[in-house]
Amino acid sequence: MNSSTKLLATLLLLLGGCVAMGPAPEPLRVESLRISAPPGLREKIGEMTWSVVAGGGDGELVCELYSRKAQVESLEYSGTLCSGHWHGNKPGHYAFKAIVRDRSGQVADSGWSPEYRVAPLVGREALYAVLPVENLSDSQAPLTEIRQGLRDDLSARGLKLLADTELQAFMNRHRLRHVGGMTHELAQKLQDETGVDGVFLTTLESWREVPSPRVSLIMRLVSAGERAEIAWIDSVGLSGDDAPGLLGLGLVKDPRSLLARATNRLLDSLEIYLAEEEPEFRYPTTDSAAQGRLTKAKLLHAGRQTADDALAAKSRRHRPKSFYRASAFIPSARRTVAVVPFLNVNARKHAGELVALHAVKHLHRYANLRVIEPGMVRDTLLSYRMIMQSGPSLAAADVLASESILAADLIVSGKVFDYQGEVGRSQVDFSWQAIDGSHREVVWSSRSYGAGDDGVYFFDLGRVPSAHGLVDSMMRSALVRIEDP
Amino acid sequence: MKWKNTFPGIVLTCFLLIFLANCAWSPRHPDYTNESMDFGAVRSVAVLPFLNLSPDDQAGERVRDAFMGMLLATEAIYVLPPGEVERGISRVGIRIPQTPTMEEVTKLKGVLEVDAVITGVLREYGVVRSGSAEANLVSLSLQMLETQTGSTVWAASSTRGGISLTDRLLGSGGRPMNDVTIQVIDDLLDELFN
Repeated sequence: MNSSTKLLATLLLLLGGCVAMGPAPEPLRVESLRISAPPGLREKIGEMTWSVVAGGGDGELVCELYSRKAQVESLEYSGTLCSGHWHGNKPGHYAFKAIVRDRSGQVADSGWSPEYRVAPLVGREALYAVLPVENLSDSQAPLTEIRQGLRDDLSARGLKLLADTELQAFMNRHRLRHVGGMTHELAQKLQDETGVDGVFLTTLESWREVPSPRVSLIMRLVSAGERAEIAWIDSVGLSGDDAPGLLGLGLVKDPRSLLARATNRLLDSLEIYLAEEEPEFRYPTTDSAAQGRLTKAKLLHAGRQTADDALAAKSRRHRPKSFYRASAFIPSARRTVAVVPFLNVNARKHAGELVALHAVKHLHRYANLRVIEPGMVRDTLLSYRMIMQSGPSLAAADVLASESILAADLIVSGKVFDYQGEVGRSQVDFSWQAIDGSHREVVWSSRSYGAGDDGVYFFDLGRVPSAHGLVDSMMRSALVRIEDP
Repeated sequence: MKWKNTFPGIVLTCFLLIFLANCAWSPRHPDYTNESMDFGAVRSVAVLPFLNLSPDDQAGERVRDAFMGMLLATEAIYVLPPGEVERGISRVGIRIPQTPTMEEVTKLKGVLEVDAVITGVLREYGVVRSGSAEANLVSLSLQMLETQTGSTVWAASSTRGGISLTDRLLGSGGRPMNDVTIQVIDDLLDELFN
């Protein structure tokens, strides 16, 4: 090949390269990020809409919406639609940012918006109703006394309560007998007829008066009005011999004194919620998350404590004995969760409902999860005559996941094989799993069992006296595994 | 003098016997694997309720749940949720789900869309006693039936727990039932995947 041929070939190659190149794309820019509410406005949860106006760029644009709360940034949406609704499950101050990407790799950023406040679903100045206590303790208990104690303490903390006569009249009028859950219909009627904004539902998990006494309560606040949504949920489990101390001086022998402590802890936790400082788990969006890797959830308001003291996985002993998470499952995605009562296999009465309530509580602490009020799930199961002898089938999951029914993305169910903690050593054995409603498959499954004195050798150090504490520790450990990158 | 010479030998023999007893080889139950079966093609299974031959009414369900969880945790095979299996059983109309016929297994394929079905027999689940010693014992056998023809392609069994020499000498109560169950299932999963 002589030099002129080489020159010609080079020229042809250059020209060929230029043929494929079109005009350079216009620089991508974000004109504006519009949020429906002006800064500082008290917004009810689920009412914000956002839209991104972008210009320039090459081909179809991909919009990402990020939210920031307490310096933790989370990806809220990613897709080709550049507008949508945003549901803030937790109260607090949020800022938003949009990032737009085009086909050629250009990236434009809207910058952070001013902060928007999401008010608690039910505020301090609201009117509350305290429903009678649901007894799942499998023993006789002074339910009226417990309820009256709760009412007195709530009033002492400055909350306005609906008069008992009015509540009783409402319950008689609507034949309200099940006090363990609320439906949308009932929540609407309650607000229309009595003006109530929030309802306290209390479940007695265990009650033992003879030494050493034991008290476990699960309490939640559900909004009244258009939708019955869980605003706050917490639980407490105390035993008279939790901390016996030197010569048994720390032993509590009076169950009323233990009950007062339990109530105080619950209401302290409620105060934290009303002050918008409730601890919550939020998945941060980091560089590794952008590359498709999973990140662990971060605890916000870590200085605050819950009544059950179960924000951390305390013991290696309570890790799940078998665990599965589908490779395609992304724990940080925003989802609506329906917790179906667990199946009770050979455990004590009501164990299935109790463990399900613990699951509701733990899942509610994740900012990306909206847990459906158990009363709504129960109502759906009853109205569709769904009897689940071995847990939900895929057909049952389809019903719960249907947009027109519960629109649940995840259906959590399980089995309880052992639940002892009323007397002597505590022992718990359960398994739980989640079915992805849209993909119709199990996305995670875990099984935990153990006793309160497993691995305890010296002076009861590390002993978990109640089944309440044990199931909390085991569930938290399982959720930590689900978060694991 | 003669006694002095033979005594160390007697002691040594005793120790040797104890050592050998401790290392006693427990015969493994032979397992069956269909050599022509491509186990890689088995992507999803339905675990049917186990036949429970133990005195504990709920033992079959306990062991089945533990097995399903551990099989799913291997991430090698997808295990259908128990509620869906229950639905399949009732739709096909299997009278005794613990021991399905070949026709019933093939019908399950149509309803549940699974590649195989696993059945099991829980032969022992409880405490065994010998003199003053007691310990937990679990014995389980499993079968895998492929849903194309309904034939058995794999079968294995395992027994774990029972009274060991340590239990006899030290009088301990053996390992917890859940731990023994996990050992048995581990054995069976080893058999299945190796």
